Amino acid sequence: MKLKPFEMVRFEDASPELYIELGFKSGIEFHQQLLTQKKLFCHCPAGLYSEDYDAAIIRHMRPTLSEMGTYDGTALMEFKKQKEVLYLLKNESVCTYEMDDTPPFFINKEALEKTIKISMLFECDIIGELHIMRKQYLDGSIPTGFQRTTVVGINGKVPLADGRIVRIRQINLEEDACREVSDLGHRITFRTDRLSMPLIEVITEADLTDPRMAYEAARRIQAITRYSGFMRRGIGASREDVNASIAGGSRVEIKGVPRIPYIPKLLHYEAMRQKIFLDIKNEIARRGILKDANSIQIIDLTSNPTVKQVSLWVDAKCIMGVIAREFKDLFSVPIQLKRTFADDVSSILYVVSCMDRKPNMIFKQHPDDGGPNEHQWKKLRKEVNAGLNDLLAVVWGNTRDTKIAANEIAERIIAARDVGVPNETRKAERGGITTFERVLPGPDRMYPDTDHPPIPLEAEYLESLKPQIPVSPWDREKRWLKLGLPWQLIFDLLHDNTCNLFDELISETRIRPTILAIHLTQTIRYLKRKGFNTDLLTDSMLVRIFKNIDNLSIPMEVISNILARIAQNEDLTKVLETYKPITDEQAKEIIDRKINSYRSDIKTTVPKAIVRASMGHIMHFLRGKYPGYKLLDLVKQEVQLVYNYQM
Amino acid sequence: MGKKGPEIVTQDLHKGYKGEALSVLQEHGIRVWSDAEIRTDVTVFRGIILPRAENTDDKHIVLKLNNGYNIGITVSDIIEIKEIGFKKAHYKIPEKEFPIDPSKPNVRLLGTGGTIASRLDYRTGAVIPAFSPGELYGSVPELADIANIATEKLFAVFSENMGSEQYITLAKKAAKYIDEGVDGIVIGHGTDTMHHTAGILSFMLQNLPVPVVIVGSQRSSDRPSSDAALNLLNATYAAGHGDIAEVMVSMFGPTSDLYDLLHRGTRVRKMHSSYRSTFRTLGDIPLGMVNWLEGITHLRQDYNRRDPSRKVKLDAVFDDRVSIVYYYPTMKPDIIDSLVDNGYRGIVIAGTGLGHVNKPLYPAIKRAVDFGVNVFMTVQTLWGYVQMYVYDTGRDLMAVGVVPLENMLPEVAFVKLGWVLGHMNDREKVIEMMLTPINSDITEREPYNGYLIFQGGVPEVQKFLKEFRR
Repeated sequence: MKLKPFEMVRFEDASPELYIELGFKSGIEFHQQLLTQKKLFCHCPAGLYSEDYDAAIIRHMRPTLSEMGTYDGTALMEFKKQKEVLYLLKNESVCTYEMDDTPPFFINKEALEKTIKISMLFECDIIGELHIMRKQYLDGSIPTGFQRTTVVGINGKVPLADGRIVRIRQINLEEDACREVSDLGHRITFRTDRLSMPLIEVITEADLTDPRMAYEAARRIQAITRYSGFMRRGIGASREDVNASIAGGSRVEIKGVPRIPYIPKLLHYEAMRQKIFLDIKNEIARRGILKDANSIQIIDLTSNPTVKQVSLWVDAKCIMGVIAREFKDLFSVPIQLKRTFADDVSSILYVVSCMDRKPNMIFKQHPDDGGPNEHQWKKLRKEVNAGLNDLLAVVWGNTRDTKIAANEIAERIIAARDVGVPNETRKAERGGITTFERVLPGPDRMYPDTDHPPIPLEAEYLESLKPQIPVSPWDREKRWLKLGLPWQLIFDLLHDNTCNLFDELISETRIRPTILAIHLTQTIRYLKRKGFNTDLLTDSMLVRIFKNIDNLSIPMEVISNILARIAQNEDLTKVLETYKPITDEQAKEIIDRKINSYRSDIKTTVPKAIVRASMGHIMHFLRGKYPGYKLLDLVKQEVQLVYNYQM
Repeated sequence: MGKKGPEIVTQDLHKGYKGEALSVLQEHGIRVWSDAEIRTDVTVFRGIILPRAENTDDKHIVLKLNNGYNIGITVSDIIEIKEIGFKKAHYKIPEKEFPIDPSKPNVRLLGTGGTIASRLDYRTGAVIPAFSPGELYGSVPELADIANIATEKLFAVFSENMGSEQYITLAKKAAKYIDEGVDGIVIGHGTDTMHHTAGILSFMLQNLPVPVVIVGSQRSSDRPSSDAALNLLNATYAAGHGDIAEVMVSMFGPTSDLYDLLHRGTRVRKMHSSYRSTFRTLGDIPLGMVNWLEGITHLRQDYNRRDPSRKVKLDAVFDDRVSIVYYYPTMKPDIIDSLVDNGYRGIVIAGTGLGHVNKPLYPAIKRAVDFGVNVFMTVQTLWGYVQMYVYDTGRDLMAVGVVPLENMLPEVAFVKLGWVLGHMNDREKVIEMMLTPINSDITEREPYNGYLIFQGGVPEVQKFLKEFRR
């Protein structure tokens, strides 16, 4: 398949060959909160969320120099924004550490040890001496302006179901950031309860050669981390960043993918976005445009009389225009589904110059929202000498933001000409779309945390942890495959962290492994979805239930009913009583009685039909108390007996 | 244009490394800042060899990986190190020439050290002070909107290392620039002993024509959330534009980035080891609030007004044979005796409650006074007056020669006594000078709102915290 310029392949129509042709590469950064009592660098309780708050404080962020003596590009961009950051504080979940009014306490040993063990599960090499680093985040999401983070393991691996190996570059232990409440204009608001909770970050190499593989790798990594039993579960406990590039494109990071199933589509449309920006770059070169100094111009329109007739612009303190010669059509090229290059630029203005009202940029007549009508737009274009195919984009607002916005538009067009796909961090939106979040930060944003000493990890200490890590998941998988478990169930067992329970039950009961696995994963998930209180199905309760089912020879078909009733807080002994099997003699007696009592209702004389009709009546009484296959034989016998006398 | 900060990149090839780690580096011919490949028995690392902080072990080599993370590699695991390149860090705040605008006031910034401007030090892994007008403008360009700034670095010491020599030099320099006609002085200072310096300068620099503002930061300027820039901007505003010609401390009012409080040098004290809003005026209210964008809000009118025609009175003497004795139950007389025997000339006691110490100390105090040592009483409660008539013990103490110092803060009493003893030794005169109020070191009355430590958790306080974003 040969892709045409500006051709966009829909996700649904994509074939594996497409990604090979594009030279697609991707990596994952998987984040999940560790289950610990306390936060990472202070002694606040972890996992205490609240929508309420007790106090609020205001801060601002300034960029600082990196250890290597340079400013980070992202940092400078954030500084352009000049945001006021408001932090909402809750007494129970936040102390002066999170507010950046107290230096860190020594790193949480529980979190560190769990991270080491997880790194061992991924077969990483453990770092000899940990150095706490400060990773700058000037968006305000962390009050210090940096995230404390440290590499614990490197060079690990995770095998996929089909045997392909994905390399793990590194595993980090870091503090979680704030939860964003709102981001309007120059004010961004955060809740601080989640701040500084211990977070594990698993980073793969860019080994993922198609979006589907990225999805599988993410699921695998999630399953393995959960398998450790060290993870916090629930909404927000896990987040993924994915990065992607195509041949000739650039590494672009997509932040905050809330659910793993969204990954393939997001990656697909990122690949498409990069492909089309490369097409735009080629087209600029082919046309030979945007070459000389005058081909991209920024003009001040504040005192232009035509502009002042447009109601949208009447009150603007500053109005600026950007002209790009022969670029008009390329600005409207769709880059992701229905989103165009212009939409992408608009999202940059939203972020960088805080222009949060739409439209924030006008590049054609726009009579809705009070924008220029056809006549005004034509007049304006003429006044600024914009030719038929020239782009004119107008921005307005306060002086500072407007000047930044005009510069951003010009810079973005220059980037389209020079690099095609700029390095960016993008935000995952609905439906496979992404929007600009910030420039991709580089290594310059990292510098050592002088508040915390390095942490040496002695070889003996690491050795002592090894016996404490769970059996390698891959070994377990192999064993379970031999037991005849289908792959999906193996995956579910790992994912739901029911492995130990499952192994205990298969060794201590005679219940078939597949049946056990189905109930431990799918049945419990189903009950949870239906609103049953599955918290009552603790590991020890499940052991009791299944051992009893086995001992009392309770039929398999009622296991779901038993689990459901226990999840409704019924007493186990009473529930089991209901399903306790009856003996063959008791069964015979009941069947005999029933056949006789229904006899007058049965009109047929065909033996098979008599059996079928009788079964219908009898099943109603004996379901769950007597095995179905035995029941049929018994009914046949009894029917013969009963009816033979008459026939 | 000022002096450079201390160079952190030295010629040292193996900066910070010692013992085992040093010999491994030497063995492989590897220096600090090498872009190197390190092969261990399990893997290969690639990155830049960083200097190692002093006071760390000799078992690890620090490597900066390409993604910016630092790791320590266990020396005993290393099989081979290869140098691929060399990348020396140029850790330098971008320097730009400070623009001069004749319509703006001229402010002289005097540097003593501290974290008002700083860089990382690989030797200790800590933050070291650095500043010049160019560097300041490079990192806080808004300064040029406020004033024309010239700087002079007097010392590069952490504030705990300030002493009599520094106090005298600092006062003389400030007086010199004031005589030369600057519109205000800003002193960059570490926060730990900022209130000692504010106290002594209040005595050494009297009759001020222009403001003298001491400023620092609680979060070093190498951090994005630092209070350094805002403190510096506010202090520069107060020095250049403010009407209060006194020795002041300008530091964060609330922990939020909102405004600085201007504290009188004799009534200010650092009250929290790490909070931004650590400085408080004790036993009185601050002079004002300052935000460089919004100006100064005066909280009181009884201040010394700016008057360039006034002549500063420099009185820079200090005798450091003075001590503070922080009283505790079970204290033995030998504490006092040893001070006397070691030639101390003045003792400020921070007594309990209204100004008390235990009975076994009385003979030792009497002996001290007999030896010509001047003994004064302040309160370790910090707020409130010494009142030694209420209990017999107080009267007994006065009888043996202890002189109560009203509501003078212990640290202020300490620096004042050092200053007074720099002038004279006559007991009567020393006492008279100590009890003569200078720049509000003693006040006649304590306003009801001079003592406010809000108690968290109380509903009305919680309501304030929630609504006022402080």
